[in-house]
Amino acid sequence: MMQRVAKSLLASRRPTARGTVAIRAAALATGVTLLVSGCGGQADGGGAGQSAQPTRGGTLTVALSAIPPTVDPYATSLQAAWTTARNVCEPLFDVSTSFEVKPVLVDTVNYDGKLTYTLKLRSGVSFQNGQPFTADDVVASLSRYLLTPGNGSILKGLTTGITSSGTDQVTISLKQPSAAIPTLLTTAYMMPASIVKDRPITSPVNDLVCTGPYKLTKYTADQNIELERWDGYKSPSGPSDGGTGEKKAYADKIVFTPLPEASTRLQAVQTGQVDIAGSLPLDVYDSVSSSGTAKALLTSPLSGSTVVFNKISGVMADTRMRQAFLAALNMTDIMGAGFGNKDFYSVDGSIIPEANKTWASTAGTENYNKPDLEKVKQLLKDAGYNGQPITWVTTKDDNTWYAPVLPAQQQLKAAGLNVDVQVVDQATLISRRTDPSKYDLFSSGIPTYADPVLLPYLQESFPGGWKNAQRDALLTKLSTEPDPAARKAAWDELQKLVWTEVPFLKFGTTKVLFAVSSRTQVERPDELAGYYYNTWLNG
Amino acid sequence: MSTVSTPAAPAPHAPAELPRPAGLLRKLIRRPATVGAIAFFVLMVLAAAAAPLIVGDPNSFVATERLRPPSPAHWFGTDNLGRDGLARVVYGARASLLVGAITCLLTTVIGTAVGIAAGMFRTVDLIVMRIVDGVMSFPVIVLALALMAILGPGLVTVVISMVVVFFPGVARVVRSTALVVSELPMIDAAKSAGAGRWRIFFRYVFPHCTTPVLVQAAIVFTAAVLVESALSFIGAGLPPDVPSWGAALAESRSYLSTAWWMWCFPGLALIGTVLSVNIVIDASRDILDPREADK
Repeated sequence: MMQRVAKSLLASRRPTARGTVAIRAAALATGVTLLVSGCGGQADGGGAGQSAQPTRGGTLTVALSAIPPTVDPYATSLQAAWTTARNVCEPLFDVSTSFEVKPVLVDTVNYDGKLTYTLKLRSGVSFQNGQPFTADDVVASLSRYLLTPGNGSILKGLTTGITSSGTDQVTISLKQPSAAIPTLLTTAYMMPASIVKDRPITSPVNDLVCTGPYKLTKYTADQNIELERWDGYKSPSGPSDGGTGEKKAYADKIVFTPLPEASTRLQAVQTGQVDIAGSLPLDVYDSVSSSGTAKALLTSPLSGSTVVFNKISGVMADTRMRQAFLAALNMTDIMGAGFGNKDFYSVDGSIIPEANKTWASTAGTENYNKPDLEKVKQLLKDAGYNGQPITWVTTKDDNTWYAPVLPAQQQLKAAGLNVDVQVVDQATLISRRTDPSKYDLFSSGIPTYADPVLLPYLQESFPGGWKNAQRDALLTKLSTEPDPAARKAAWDELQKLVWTEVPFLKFGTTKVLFAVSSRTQVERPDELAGYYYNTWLNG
Repeated sequence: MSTVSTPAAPAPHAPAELPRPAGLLRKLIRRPATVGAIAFFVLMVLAAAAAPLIVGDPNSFVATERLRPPSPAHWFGTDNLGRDGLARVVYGARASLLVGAITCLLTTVIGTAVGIAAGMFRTVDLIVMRIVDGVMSFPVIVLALALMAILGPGLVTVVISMVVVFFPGVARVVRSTALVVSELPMIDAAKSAGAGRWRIFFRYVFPHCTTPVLVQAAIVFTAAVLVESALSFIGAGLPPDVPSWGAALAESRSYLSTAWWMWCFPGLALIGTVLSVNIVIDASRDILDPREADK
């Protein structure tokens, strides 16, 4: 290829350089320089291969820190477990990388501004088993969705009924007006009524059949997941962007393989065994960029490192203990020690990161990153704390979850809180967090949501069990208020409440580092959070 | 009246002549490699014992001092959280040597008692050795991991796991020696002279087992240090706030080419400690072996 480019460069110079050796040499030197700089740019990963034309074919191998225990998105609120569903299934509406909510399986949506949404489904869409996608499937899927904690339970609280009219029309009847229905439907993946009708969420679907660009061909828990391009896929139109617009399904196959260790994931990319590896320490950015064996891709600062407290039982159920925990922490130092390069993280108390400008807020952040040991002492005294161990369950499977843990533990120890850090794998953490007797706080991460109503941490049903009447009123307002300004005001109030009651705590926001093989081309790195259909392979 | 003189009971067969501790030490220090090994090990022990006096808190961090190479301020550099490498290595020595020493002591006591009991009493032998066979049929790390999973993480759990994993080996070696000794004429003679079981145990059988017990104890020590490091390396050993060489090596995996000091110093400490003890064991065994002593 280098020879071809060099020849073409020489050829392009031929009319003016005929007979002039010096100019030929200069042209060759220029060509080589361009080639070298081109290679360098690719290694940096900044352009992510924008120069190459998209091509179909090949097997895209993605290394995950763990294969999720289920591929059914209704069975867990953990977004890391939705990776399969995001490529195999589709919701009625989905979110772009700029957090716009757009129709996917819906053709038109009609809201009367009061109590009725009428959704007309896209025609010609069918499931991967050949069955046509109809309104009955939507009703069956949404009926199951209403059983899920989080967004499903909010939707349930807002609706009085979901009915089908004919094969392509669904009517959603509301208890009170709400502009948030399309947003709440962005996590409701559609499956055939024959599979999900009357199926409880405690009975997960492990052979997903959906309408997405890839079909699930193999799922072995703890081993691997294989997807194959589905040729019967009918894509929505519009520019490709995250879960919205045209989905191109370039790779013939997508294989998810588990590699728990970050260093192993990185080496697997560098040796060409896998094409994409995520959740890497940000410190390796420079070495990956300069290695020439892989490209380093950074997402926008989308990932919030957090802990969620047990508000049901145990020592952290006392609000004063949680406030003391917050007052003991110097987030600048914690984020600095955990993540290193200041360009890759921000110390901000906005629950929805700045990347989503609509909902980013500074409300209540006067309590954030204000370490005050005297205040901690007083709060601990008021709470009657006498040094009993505080169990913090965490995992190394996700770097954004684990990086702040040890620096925070050291600061808490200095402030008089006896924190016992227990490191487990992510699946164990997800299991343990459902039993309040097994933790006082657990590590987690907040991705950037399109709308705060999607934030599961605000739900009482989320592990940790936050009960608060003011929270209920503000959430209801957020779900039902049609005026955007009033909704923003409600969210500001709610964020203020979060930083006062401290049901969970955010350390800061980070970018997420991915290493991709030289042949892998990614147009929008933010899609690497789970969407792989727009990624293609060269050669 | 004739007096029947009864010959005095024959003196029990004297244990094999072993060099006395002073003699052993004298012979050891004639070997340069052994002197180096002892010096290194003593240095590690002293550093571990005096850790709070010579380094600061191993968990304290400075966010702006991450991944710094060795310098006068940080002799062993700093790690990925901005913690002092020297303090981590010294406190890591504390954890490793403590685990090794406690495990060695408990394993030796339990293994020796079980081994001698099995060698002396056939019923005990039948029961205990089947249990020992069962425990020894598991790979060491797998058994330790299973126990860690059941008992939960922590120093005490690590020690319990190690003792369960290692005592069968000691018991088996001691048993074989005890079996040989219990068949010696001196034991019959001692019984004839009216010696009780405990006297026979402590006066005649145990001294014969000293050499294999000492060698086994040292082997258990090094194995315990290695297995603790291995468990911490895979995240199943000591809690993350307790410095450990194995955990430090695990953390360094993402920094192999960019921060060599993160793996180099804990690695050298681990290799040096295990190697030094092994050199001393080897030399001691050579000196204590009667066949070698004759040469």
